[in-house]
Amino acid sequence: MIPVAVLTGFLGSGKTTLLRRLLRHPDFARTAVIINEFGEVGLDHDLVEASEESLVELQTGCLCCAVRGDLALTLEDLLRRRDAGTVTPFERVAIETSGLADPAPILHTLMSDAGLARRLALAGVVATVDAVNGRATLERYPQSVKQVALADRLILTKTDLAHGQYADLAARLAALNPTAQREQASFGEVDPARLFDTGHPASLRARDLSAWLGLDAHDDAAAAGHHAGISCFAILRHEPFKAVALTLLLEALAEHCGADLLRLKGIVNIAENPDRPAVIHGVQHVFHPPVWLDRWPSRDRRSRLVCIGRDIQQAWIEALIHAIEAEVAEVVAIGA
Amino acid sequence: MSGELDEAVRALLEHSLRAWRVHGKIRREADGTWLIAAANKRVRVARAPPGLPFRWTVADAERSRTR
Repeated sequence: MIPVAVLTGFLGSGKTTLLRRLLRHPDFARTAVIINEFGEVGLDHDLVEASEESLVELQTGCLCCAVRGDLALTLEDLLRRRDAGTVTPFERVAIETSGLADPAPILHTLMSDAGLARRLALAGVVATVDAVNGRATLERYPQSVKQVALADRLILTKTDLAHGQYADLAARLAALNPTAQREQASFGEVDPARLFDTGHPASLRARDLSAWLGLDAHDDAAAAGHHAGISCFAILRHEPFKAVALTLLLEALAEHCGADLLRLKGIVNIAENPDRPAVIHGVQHVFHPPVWLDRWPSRDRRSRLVCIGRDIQQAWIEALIHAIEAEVAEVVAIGA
Repeated sequence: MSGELDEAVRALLEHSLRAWRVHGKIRREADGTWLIAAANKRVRVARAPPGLPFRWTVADAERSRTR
């Protein structure tokens, strides 16, 4: 499976600057980067190895590809060329969104297109946030709020220009998305590996899985926050879920919360298969097929569901779980 | 309906009204039907009659839905 990182961030947040530096970085070799327009990235001529209308191969070993209308078709074409050996055999993909974009449709494409899901695995969403202007941006532009809420990793850019005056912004980011890993980048400098190590559930180590879920493995307290109508909370359960109850729960959440359910991720103890936890991941109304881990990452076998959503209340989800389980129990009793 | 399911349904309906910020009242009628009066609507949630391929019906004045 080829990991795919989605790089998002509001206009002027430093996303393109970061990408431009990454394209020159030797550790970014064998990466296919999908962008909106070549002109936005500003590829230097001395960097170009070969080019055609929508594809540029760089001397660093990167591939730069401009989206032609449909992301799924662009990805399919890229994979076809890779299989045919007509482009560098890239080992990972980075997709840059436009500054005003909602990342959710890109995630949906990766999660729900059967052909792509067989070859590509979402490695995570990385969002750049401007340390100087980010606070005002979050206040004014709902798109920026959503970009942050959906991120697995937040990169605070232009920290050199902010002169340390971004504690308030950091607090807002923590409230908006307490589960996202946070780091800083000055002058667009970031380790390329940081784009891809937010973790695909199947390859996450115990420490990374806890980080991905935003929970300390040694602490029962769940990260929680609230900002601009977006709340984040975690539901912890000792009792395993019956598989059908979990299915009904995810269907109900997708149907009733829809676009307000920005992100749901979790590790779930399934009663029918208690030794192999299921890792679930959903973006709005689209859920990735569960990933079954070979074993629990620690002795803690509680189910943990982390929800980031707009106007979604934890008490309501817990009441929904209780009602579904009571219903399932009654059906099972009738059938017994 | 089992007592536990009875309580779970009531709790879910109450939490749903709170979650959607709708003021309303929930009442269980003698035949077991749940009546929700909220936002100028009256919604009835009831067990479907036996023998049908669904377990619940939800009805307001104009339309119904099954589960």
